Amino acid sequence: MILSRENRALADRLDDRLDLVAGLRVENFAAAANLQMSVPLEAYLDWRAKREAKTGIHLSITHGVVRSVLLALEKDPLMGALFDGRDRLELPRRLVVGVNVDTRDRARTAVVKNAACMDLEQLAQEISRQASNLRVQSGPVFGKGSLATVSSWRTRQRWAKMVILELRERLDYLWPLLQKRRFEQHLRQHGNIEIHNIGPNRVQAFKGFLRRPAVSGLWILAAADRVIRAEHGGFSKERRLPLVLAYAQELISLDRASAFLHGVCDRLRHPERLLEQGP
Amino acid sequence: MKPEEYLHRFRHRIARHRYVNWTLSVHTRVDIDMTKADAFLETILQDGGPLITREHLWLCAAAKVLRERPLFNVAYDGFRALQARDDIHLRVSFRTENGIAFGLIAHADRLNLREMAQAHQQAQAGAKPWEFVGQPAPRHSGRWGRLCDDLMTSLLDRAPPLESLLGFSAGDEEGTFTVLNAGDYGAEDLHAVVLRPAVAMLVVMAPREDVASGLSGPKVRLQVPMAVPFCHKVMDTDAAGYFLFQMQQLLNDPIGGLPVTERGR
Repeated sequence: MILSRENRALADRLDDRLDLVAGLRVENFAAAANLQMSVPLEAYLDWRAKREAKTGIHLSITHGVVRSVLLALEKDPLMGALFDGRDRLELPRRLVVGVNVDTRDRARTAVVKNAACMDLEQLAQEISRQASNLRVQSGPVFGKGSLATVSSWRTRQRWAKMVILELRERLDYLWPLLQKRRFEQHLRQHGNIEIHNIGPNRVQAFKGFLRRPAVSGLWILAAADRVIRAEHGGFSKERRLPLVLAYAQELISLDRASAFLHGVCDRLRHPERLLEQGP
Repeated sequence: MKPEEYLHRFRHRIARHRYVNWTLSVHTRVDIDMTKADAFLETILQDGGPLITREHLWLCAAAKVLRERPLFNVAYDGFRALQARDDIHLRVSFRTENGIAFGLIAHADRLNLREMAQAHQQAQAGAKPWEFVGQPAPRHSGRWGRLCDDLMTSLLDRAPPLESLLGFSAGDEEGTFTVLNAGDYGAEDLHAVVLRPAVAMLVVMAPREDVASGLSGPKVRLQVPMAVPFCHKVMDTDAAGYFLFQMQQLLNDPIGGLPVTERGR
């Protein structure tokens, strides 16, 4: 199948993603630095097995990381702030977290409102529920009748819509209400921070970018084994989980970003701390 | 924390990061073996020499490589003006109680290891907070001021030669080349955005022990991953690799390459 601009399936997909097509321009990006750290996974896996046996609720690595991120965000809300790139910085009033779900046709986001009020098991259930809903809703990558063509009028219409969307995103600071609406829409669609688990796809290295107003995003990569020196001589194997934090370099300093990521890693290293209540 | 105060405090740093100042930063990372460098440091300590750390070693090595590869030390307007800088002033990161700070080591290529250790200490004493920008980029206040800046940025994005004619500047940090010790914060990797007029920087990650097979069984080697994000408009993809390869050579043979007491140049 040859895909062209006149192809109906492709046109449908582009129309569907017009906000992304218009929004993903360098002018709308934050200057994102990507910080990577890893954490030994054994402690979390052991603790998880015991916890699951006790509660009967399945906990994945994502659930642990999401809970850990929430607790770290409560300590440093700036990492979950929304920023227009210059004059408007909104700290989270109530933490909303987005968890990326890879469906067949696209990556969708399960947005958990009131996430900070949930304990680990409630959070896990909510994420699983939303993820399975999103997977059920997903359709094929291209619709039926892929070979049908669309009129050039439709292409022109899309172009005009895209220009309007672009201008709106670029200049919405001139109309604060419009900007407020964009912030709220971002919160509804992605939350204060979005977490992506790309480890199941065996991704070992990744560099993410940030579309404003997000100031940070977290990616979970594939866990990998490392040979390390054992405490009492000899060598042993350690399974480590790499985490990549993309953060807005213009707003967040390296020490602040690393303190946040350390906080996330520490809770996975000492998973009983995932049950702590936020401040 | 009040958002308005925070934005006011970081206004210069935010203005420095407007997208026309980003370079197309290609990230090249190499794990540098520090086994021989560590052995060298131990010998200096046993001989009662000055207190020299790994950081002094790699700062000296970086300055030396910069002298031999001046392209990494140039000032670039992002378009067509490339200005060679004869002086090598390193902007070095420090971990302080108040967060990350940057100090300046002037004429770093002329320092031997003992002098580098002293200069490093002095730079730490005079280190300025992360948000400090030596030469801030111009910025108008208010919504309409922002619109003016935006229109100007868009115009310069499409017609860079107008920048100097219109009296606009990208701003600048102190120093000619930044060395960021991300390892101080436990970073295993850090992709940083390099801002013009700089064309590259050195990012040093946290040291890591690697177990490799040897003739007489497994061997532990201390690796310090180092990265040189660089502007692809100015350099080709292999440039940073050569920079880091030369760093590795110098750190493998510090006695031959990095003088402890004599003049560096």
